[in-house]
Amino acid sequence: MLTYKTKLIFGYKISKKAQAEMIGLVVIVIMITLGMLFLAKFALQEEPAKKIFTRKGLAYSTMSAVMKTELECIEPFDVDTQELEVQDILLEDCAKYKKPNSGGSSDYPCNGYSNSCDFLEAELTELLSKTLGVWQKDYVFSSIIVDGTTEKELVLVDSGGCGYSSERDSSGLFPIYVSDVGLVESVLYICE
Amino acid sequence: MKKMNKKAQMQMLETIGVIFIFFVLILFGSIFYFKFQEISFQNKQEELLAQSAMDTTLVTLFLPEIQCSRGDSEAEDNCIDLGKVRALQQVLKENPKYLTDYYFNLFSYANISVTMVHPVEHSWTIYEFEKVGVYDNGSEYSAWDRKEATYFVVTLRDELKGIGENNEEFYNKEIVYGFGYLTVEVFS
Repeated sequence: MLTYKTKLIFGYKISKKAQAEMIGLVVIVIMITLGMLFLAKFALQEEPAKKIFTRKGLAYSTMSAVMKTELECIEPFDVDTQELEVQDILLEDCAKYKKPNSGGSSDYPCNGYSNSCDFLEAELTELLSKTLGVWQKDYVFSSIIVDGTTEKELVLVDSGGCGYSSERDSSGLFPIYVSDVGLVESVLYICE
Repeated sequence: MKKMNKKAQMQMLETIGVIFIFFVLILFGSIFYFKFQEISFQNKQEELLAQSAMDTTLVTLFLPEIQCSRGDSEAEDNCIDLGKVRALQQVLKENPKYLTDYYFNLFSYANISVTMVHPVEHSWTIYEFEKVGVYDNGSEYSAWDRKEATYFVVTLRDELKGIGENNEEFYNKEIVYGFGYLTVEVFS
């Protein structure tokens, strides 16, 4: 018959068999802990810095390109095509048109649209859907007039799907000052 | 005596069982470790390729051969001069050795193109160097495992007449700022 020796530890009698089983348990606990640490390492992996850099760079470059782009405009009863820059002409005209108590007149009712804001919104929707949309990125473009504490929306182009996304980067603000209106701020968000 | 032998046999069986389970655990651990190493290696390769795509894109964006310049002042951000793009295309077409002697050191195996979205849709390939292998019978095949594409939206300035590579005319304006993008594809 097998007998296990006993040992006095902290005043308690503990058999060698119990010690051996405790060591076994400790080994199992260590193995489970290591396994969980491995799983946690995989689960909590951060988004690669390159992806964030690319998205941020893309948002900035898109916004910068949009602002400098010249859109073709044919006004009613006019046969000639005008090239109008988004930032310096169309956005400014849109801000003047949407300014509270402005009377609602637009200098550039292009391509059948009644004002430059609607024209801008339609053109930007097309440009962004042909680039960011094709690359399956969600986006929100917005331009607002900032007047003290109040804000008024000028142009909004939303692809949808950006609302609840945590992976979202901004182009940063592109502000312009429009005389008699105030500050107009534009921003583009790209999400995945 | 016989009773003792049976007990020893039982203990041996128990020891063999424990050793077997131990080795099974070691085997599972090894499989898991090697799989993990394999995935890490693949991730590292993808990361390096993505980094290479990013570097090539930045080099292209700041390439004096195609960047919008304004005399002595600093160049325009995110802007490509289409006049320069057409000239570069022409130069590379007439002197293909520039591709291997100079541009390959800059871009390595990559495809770089500029696409115009507005006012008209058109594309210009400015650099094309795909990794290819050659079969014994002389035919070529794509010899790359991975391809990473990076896009950057740019303004396209055209101070010329808007003439494409096949001499088709796009528009009649003297200076136009269009909208398009740069595509950089790198291979590994």
